[in-house]
Amino acid sequence: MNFEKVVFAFFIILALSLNFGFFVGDLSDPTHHHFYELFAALVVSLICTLLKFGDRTHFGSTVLASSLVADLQLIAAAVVWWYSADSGISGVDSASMASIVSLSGGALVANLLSVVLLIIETSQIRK
Amino acid sequence: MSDIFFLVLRRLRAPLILLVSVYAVATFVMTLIPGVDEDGNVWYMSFFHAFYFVSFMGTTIGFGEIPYAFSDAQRAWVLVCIYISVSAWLYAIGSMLNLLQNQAFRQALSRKAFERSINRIDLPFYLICGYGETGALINEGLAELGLQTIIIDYNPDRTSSIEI
Repeated sequence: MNFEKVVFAFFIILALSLNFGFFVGDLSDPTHHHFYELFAALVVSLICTLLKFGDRTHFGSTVLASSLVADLQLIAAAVVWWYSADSGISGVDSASMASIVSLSGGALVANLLSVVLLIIETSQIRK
Repeated sequence: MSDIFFLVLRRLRAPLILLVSVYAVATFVMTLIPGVDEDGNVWYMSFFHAFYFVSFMGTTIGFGEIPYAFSDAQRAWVLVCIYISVSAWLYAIGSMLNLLQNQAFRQALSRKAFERSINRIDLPFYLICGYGETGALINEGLAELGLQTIIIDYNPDRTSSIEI
């Protein structure tokens, strides 16, 4: 058992599941999506990116790229949330909620890709 | 370039993860702790304000307690955050300075500088491997003919004794 691999797999799967938890629900219904979940997904996704910093393997660089995509989308979602919550009168409306959730959906695809890459890499290891 | 880049990234991994975690926890808890505004109403910090506050607190800029004066509970948490975030920053800056003094990092830097200076030579040159007696003689001869040479030697003492 490799401790570093456990930590990385933990964070990458946590990022996926948190993001999925935020993503599920009606696309434009603000009551179905909580900001804390988006925040957690963003932080875990950032940690995933940092864990792959300086990894020179082919797998490492591909996962770094895909988790950077996820970070970018989640940061964009957080910025849209901030913009619509602080400038709007009655909090986040359904139109901006829809764009926030679709941005997080994009990040979800990137997270999913990272996990798929992880599975492929793991299955290639022979005892 | 990529050698130096990867070395820096690898070294920054742990301090950056620590910083992100500290900031995340500090921001998260700030949004949970109730505050009291001037009229006595309970209010909760938004994530944006919390992140803004934690950012200037972590770097000890200190713009004060915004948007309202803090409650005691908030102040207690800020107290904890100040010590944790300052330690995290010290660790991050310390490992960055440590990297600058690292032998492998310096070698990568000087190797890069050497590569660049060779790439700049646009005239044909001779490459002399080993600056012993023979190498020195050949170098002298070539220099008299007005030809450029590059000398490579394992021993840095030898190459540093060359007169240019």
